Amino acid sequence: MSTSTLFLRKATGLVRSWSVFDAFIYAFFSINLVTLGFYIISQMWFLNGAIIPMLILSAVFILAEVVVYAGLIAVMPRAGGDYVWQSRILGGGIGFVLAVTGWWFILWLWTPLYADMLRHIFFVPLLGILGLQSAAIWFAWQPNAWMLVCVLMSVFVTIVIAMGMKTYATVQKFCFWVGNAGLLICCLFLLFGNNQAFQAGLEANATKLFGAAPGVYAATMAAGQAAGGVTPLMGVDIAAIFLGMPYLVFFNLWPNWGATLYGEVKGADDFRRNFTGMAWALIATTVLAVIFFLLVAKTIGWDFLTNANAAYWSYRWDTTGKVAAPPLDIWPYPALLAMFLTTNPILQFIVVLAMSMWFFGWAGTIFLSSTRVIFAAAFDRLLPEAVATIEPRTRTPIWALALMVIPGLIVSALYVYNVPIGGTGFASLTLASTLVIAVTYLGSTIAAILLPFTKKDLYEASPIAKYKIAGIPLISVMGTIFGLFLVFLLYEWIIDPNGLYGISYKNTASVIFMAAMYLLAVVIYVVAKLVRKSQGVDLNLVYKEIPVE
Amino acid sequence: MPILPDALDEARRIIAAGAEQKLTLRLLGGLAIKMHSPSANHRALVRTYPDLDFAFAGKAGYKIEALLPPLGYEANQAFNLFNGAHRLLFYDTGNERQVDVFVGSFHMCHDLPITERIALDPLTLPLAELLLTKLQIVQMNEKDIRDICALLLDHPFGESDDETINLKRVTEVCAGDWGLWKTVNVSLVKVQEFCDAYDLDVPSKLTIIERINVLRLALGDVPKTVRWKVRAAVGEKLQWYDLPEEVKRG
Repeated sequence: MSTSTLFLRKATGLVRSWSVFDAFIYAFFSINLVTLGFYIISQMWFLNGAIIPMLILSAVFILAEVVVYAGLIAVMPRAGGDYVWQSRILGGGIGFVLAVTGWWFILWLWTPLYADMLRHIFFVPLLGILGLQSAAIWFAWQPNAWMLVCVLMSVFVTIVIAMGMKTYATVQKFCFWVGNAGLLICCLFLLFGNNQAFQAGLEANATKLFGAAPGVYAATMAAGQAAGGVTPLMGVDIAAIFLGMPYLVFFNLWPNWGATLYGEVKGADDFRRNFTGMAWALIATTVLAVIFFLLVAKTIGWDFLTNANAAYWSYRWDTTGKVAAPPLDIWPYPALLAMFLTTNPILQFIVVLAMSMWFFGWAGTIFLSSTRVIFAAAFDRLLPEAVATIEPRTRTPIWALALMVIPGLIVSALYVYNVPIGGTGFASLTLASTLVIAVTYLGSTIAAILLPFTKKDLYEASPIAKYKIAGIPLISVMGTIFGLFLVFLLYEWIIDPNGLYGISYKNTASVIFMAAMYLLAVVIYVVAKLVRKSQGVDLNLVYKEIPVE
Repeated sequence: MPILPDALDEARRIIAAGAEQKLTLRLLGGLAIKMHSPSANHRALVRTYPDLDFAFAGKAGYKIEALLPPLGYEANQAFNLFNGAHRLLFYDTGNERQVDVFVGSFHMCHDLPITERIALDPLTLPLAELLLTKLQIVQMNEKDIRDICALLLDHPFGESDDETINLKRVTEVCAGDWGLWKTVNVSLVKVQEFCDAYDLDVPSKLTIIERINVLRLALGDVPKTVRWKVRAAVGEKLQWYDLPEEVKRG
């Protein structure tokens, strides 16, 4: 009698391109502490909410998001993610409009934001360390330099995506280990350094590398206090903590960013695996952020960092010309500040270069997830079939990438040169980049809440059917929690009763920009429906089918 | 010319059409074994062939994407878009068959270098590679066991590739990859267990078992690479294989 077992396999299988670990790294980089985290927290200098409780509390809400998305992925592990789920559960029109605005159009606005982070964590510090002070300052402040970085970044991202998922995973893995090694060294410097050494290092390095006037520490503290830099690291003012979240989620709302790619991840119909990958990314990032900021507080001084941020952003956002330039004439990049604890330029260069891997391992996220939504919409024939084709020799999705890159560069120009729309500058739209995606997530969250009731067969046959809380499907319970969190965020962004976020209905540029995107999506949908109808294709029937793998 | 109902005839037609365009395609999987092994028709080992699997030597998968549709095949566009750098999938809806093409590499439970010696046989991969593509499967099904039995029953191990399983090739490939070596050994035990239950005569069963033993001994004796030894030191604590997943049609 045989002790072995045989399996039932119908046809030759497929080993998917990405492992669960690759998906974890993608999620980890999508809530990128060094790029998104440092960047947005630096802009929160005027808020009263304490950063560490805010990081932890927001992560609790975002854990509910992870459950929702891990569940949706397990039920329908298809390329296109939100678009597929929403169009199959809520209907084609809603699915298309919400998915293309949140996963495609709004990513155009992210192009200048990614580029802004790139110049501040790569070009400026490295050129400064190399002794090329004027080039560093040019990259730090000149719109033309920023625009150049937008172009260079778009080229880099196009190349990385064109190399295919396996190579992308390899690049990402390399950046993950090197970037984390860089962060570890920064943490060690902060752990073993002290504030006196930092003040001396800042004085020596900032004057030498970036031409700061002597007395830069005290001058920065004074400038920051004058600007109103107040954000505490610790505190229990719950209302203030909640009011900081609409800013903070620019950083950590995205552990699900790989949702559109799960058609290419091994074992994507396994809820626990999906949950674990995204949840660990969120937990690891939150823990890293807490540790890093505590070390900053210990050695650099949280007050100094807040004041440096206040001095920098109050000058950069000033439209009156009355705010003086910051004493430290660059964005106060925490990793560079940590490396001011040494004057060894080789060590500084190596560590800052290693830290830039946090950008290069993450950069592809700007377009990669979006290409899958574009493909899925094209497979459903809402976009021309050509959009889902690739250049055969290089296998580059040239049309999908062109639809991301070209408008992205146009929006970059509007943002970088702060072109006024309706009397408001385009550069005030930073948080609109998050708002539009949050609306898309709300659509998927509603779809997730309804799934067990409106697609009963699909749900019952899925691996998530066994997860319930008090007899209610887990995905619906977590969907409700996360949905309420999103509604709170949207209320704060759109109504903004305290005038904190700059993208409310009172900001004409914000209203026009976002309305234009939704209008464009509706127009494409209506035109596609009419064209396909004239070709004898009923798109309503398309939405009754789950897409092929 | 329309798609031929007989899978073997159709495989020859595709290989010939590829050759006309200087594209080296070779059959692998159950059909390839059937081409070489009369025993695949024995009542105890007979099976169905729902798919035609090919290896393509080049990296220019787009040439295969251009080759097959005019021959009557419907491409799985979504699958090919996402996986086309390494795998392509086509359907023959009339005969309810599918054509799988491994482009430039073979990555299933293990990686196998199947394109290095692709031209040795005019229609299929060499027997050594055919055997390895079956033995590398971690979750074997009934068809895999039957294919391996047929191949071992009809072909001795030897030093060449002419209707002989090249023992040196099989062991060399395994000697460089502990995971593959491990899975092949496990598979051989499994085949030995299951072939006993098949309705084969005793001499045939003894032949299969004897050849399994030849291979197991050779796998034990072959000098291992440093990479093999390093991975062997880690052992089964780390999963040593990938598990391919089914591709759903919708």
